[in-house]
Amino acid sequence: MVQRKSANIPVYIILAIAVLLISLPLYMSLIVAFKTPLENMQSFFAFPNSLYLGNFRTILSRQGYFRSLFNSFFITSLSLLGMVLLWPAAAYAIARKMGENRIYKYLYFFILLGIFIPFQVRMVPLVRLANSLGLANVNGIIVLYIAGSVAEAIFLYVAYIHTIPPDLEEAARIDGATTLHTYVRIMLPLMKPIIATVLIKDALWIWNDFMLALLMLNRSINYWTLTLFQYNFRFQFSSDPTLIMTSFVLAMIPVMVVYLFAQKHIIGGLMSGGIKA
Amino acid sequence: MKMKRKKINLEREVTFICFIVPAVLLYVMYFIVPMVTGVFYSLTDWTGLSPNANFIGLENYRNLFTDRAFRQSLFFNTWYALLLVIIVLCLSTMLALCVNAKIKGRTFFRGMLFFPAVLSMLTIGMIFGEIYTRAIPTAARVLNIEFFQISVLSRMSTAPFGILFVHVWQGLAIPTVLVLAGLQTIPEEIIESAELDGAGKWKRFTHITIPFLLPVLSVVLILTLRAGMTMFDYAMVMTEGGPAGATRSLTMNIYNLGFQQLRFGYAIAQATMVSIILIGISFLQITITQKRKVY
Amino acid sequence: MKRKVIIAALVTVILLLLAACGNGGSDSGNQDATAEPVELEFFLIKVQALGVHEEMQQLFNEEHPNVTVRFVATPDAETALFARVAAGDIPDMMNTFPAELIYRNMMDDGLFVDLTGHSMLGNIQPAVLDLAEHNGKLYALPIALSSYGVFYNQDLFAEHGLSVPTTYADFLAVAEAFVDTDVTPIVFFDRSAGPVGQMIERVMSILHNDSDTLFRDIVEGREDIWARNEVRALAETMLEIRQFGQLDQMGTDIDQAMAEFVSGRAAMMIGGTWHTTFFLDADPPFDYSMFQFPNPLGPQGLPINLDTSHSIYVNASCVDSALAKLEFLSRTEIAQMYADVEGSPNIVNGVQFNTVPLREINDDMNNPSMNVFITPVNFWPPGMRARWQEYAQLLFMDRDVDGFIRNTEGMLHEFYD
Repeated sequence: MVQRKSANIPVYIILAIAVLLISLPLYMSLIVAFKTPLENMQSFFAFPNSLYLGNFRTILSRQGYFRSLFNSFFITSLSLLGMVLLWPAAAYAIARKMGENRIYKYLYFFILLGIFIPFQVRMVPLVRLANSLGLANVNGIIVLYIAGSVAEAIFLYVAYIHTIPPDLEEAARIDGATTLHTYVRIMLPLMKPIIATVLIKDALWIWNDFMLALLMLNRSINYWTLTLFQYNFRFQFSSDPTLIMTSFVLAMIPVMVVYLFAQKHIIGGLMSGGIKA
Repeated sequence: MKMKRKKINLEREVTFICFIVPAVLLYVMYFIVPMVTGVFYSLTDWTGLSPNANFIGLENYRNLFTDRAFRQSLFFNTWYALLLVIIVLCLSTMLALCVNAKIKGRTFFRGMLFFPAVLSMLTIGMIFGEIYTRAIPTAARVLNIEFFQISVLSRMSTAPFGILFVHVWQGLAIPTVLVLAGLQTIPEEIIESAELDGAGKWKRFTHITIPFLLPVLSVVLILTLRAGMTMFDYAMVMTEGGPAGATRSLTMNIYNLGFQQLRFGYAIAQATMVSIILIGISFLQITITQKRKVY
Repeated sequence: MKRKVIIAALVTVILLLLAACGNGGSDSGNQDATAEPVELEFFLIKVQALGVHEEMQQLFNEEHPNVTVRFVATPDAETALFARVAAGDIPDMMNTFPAELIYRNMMDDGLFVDLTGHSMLGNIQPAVLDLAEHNGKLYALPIALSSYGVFYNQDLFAEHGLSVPTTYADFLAVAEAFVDTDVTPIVFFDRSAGPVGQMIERVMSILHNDSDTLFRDIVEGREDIWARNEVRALAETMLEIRQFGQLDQMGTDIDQAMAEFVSGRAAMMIGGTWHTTFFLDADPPFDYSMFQFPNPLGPQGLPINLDTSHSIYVNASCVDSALAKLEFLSRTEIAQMYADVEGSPNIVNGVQFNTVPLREINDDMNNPSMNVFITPVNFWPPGMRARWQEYAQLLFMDRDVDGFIRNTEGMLHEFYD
């Protein structure tokens, strides 16, 4: 026991350095939100004299803030729902069939292509296509986000499924379980860590995405997401960095909460799956 | 017996087809159709705005070979991506192992390591702008270190590293989580039996952890390589490609060509070239790791 | 009050009906006062004017209750507009910058309604209308102008007993007066690519009012860049004034530089009239104004550009209503509302200019004896300024004037050929 503890000392040292490097910018971004513009002008780094809440009040009372917050929640959660329903299943099919059926193998590589095509190649044609399909609105952008996540999700899921031995599924198949049943009861629990990871990655992408939101949702302020609101805010209050930072701080809280919730599923997914089987 | 097996297989086939149909449809809509349209434009002199364009064949691609700005960006991006991949692979594995160990305050550390990922690009630009131009120079003046009294972003030789640092700072979070997820696939029994067999820490790491992590590391490698080769935001918010083009990335080039120079066809030709390079490297890498997979 | 309620009710009814007058019905020549409801989408690039646009629209609705205008004001508005134009999903009305090449390309593509000869143009300063013309036709209604110069802190100038410099030597002497004080004489922002490009381009145009012709002559062999002194003077001027800047100029961006000026830690900042929005918002506790950047080579000239302008899409849902809206925006009392909020020098007849910090430069622009000209960047090959800015940053670091001229020569051949 004593030995174990001393073995962890390098771990603590590494983590301490990492935490130090991360917390300075964290400190800065949080602290600015509680400062008055004057305090900030005097020193960007000093602790505020008092916890000034005027910045938060100004932002929360802005017209359109709650609308865009709602839009962001709506768009992010429905997109994630679609992603979790569709992509693990597709990846499961591809991963397990790749070895026996060439078509699935080609399909896998075909879908991987999407990872490497820079957005700039597709941007203008995509806007054109989305317009003609009537997708330039809140519901449409959900479809686009789900579609946009497919290549990376399949890539990550397939790589993960390849590390899971197929024994359990085969046993279930011999017991006469349907493929859908096997997928839902055996595969999904085993994939929990990677699903949680991919969802976090996608949640961050959608929550902070600017370009696609700008291109698809510019027609009405009622469509705006929080990111558009923030960029606009930044432009209008470019002379007041404290207000801008406050809007950033407000926007990152939800994602942080989602992460803390999701990370429980990343760790220990396999172990609990193993117990069930 | 034979009949039954065939029936189950048919059911399996149908279920799997149902599983992949949405993926194929949405993928074609979002990636393939726009890409094919894009590649078609790269064979024209389209300005990006005008309703008409002339077909000019491969001329845009031929021009790439004599374009100095393109070569400069390609050079910058290549070594940038290389450094990024090496640093991210090493550090994310190390950090994931650390927060996977049975230590006190694990949840706290996991939360902290993830924090950089939630910052938006604008926040990053503002915070590091202040750190580089005010915090570090002020500290350097107090400590009397002359080199750091001027922002790292102000010199052509150091600006790429200034950006790389921020990219690693933020880009480490997701790979760390991925590796952490990968660590969960290692069955505890194997580690325990290796421990009983008297295998040392290093031996366990190279003989058990690394082989099990290989698929995940391969994924991290490819995603980081892509992130490095298509880096845009970090340079945009911190240096806008400067000073004097020292941090002008390929995608910034493409963006400038498309939206400033009105050479959209040529911009897409560049972007297509970048994709081809990336696809080449990645498929080589995928084939290598696939041969070594555990199961 | 009652009237407002009625208007609001009418607007609601219109929104409910939402039928457009498109479908060819607009050619009938009927006045739209009693016609069916119309909705127009108006895409703003000058997004800070959204509020005043909505106020002006309320007044417009008193005359045209059937015309609803939906304003679109997004961040990064120009990118959004270009993407929509490229995708063929073009707004009915939009802000344009008619002197800029990208918009002139759109005019060539026939995207905008030809306004030539329309009565509303009679209310705009005729000299400016000439600047907005393209191939003898007018596709935009210009409302405001922009210019370039040096912002200066009037309180600090008074404290040091300084007056506004009119020659380049005076300018240097004024800057010299702040050396060895705790105030930075001139604050620079060399990390921001766009503003650096603007600075070299505007100073170049002060050195030579028609740099486009000069560059063509150089490329076609009629002039020798090494024998002419303008490019060399540009490089030397850029380096000379930077002696009066802060320590780490390449590390400072435009926002940080403006914050320095607003905090009173810098006495001067070189910039455009469009930067005034930031200063007006920040509302510093001192007086400030703007003077012209003096020409190091001799006679003074003031480069201007067309700022806020409005255009109508050819296939707008209702061109007649859009024209009525433009005519409304060109009226003196409406343009006055706009000028008071947006702040740029206005060119609608009879508008009083109330943006105090820009009065000096506005007076210069309206001075008939002043050599006022449109900045030649509008005629440069697209993208050349962005390249030149990189060479300028290189110059600021290595201080190699000959290298800058060599790079410039190579760039001219690349872009003009």
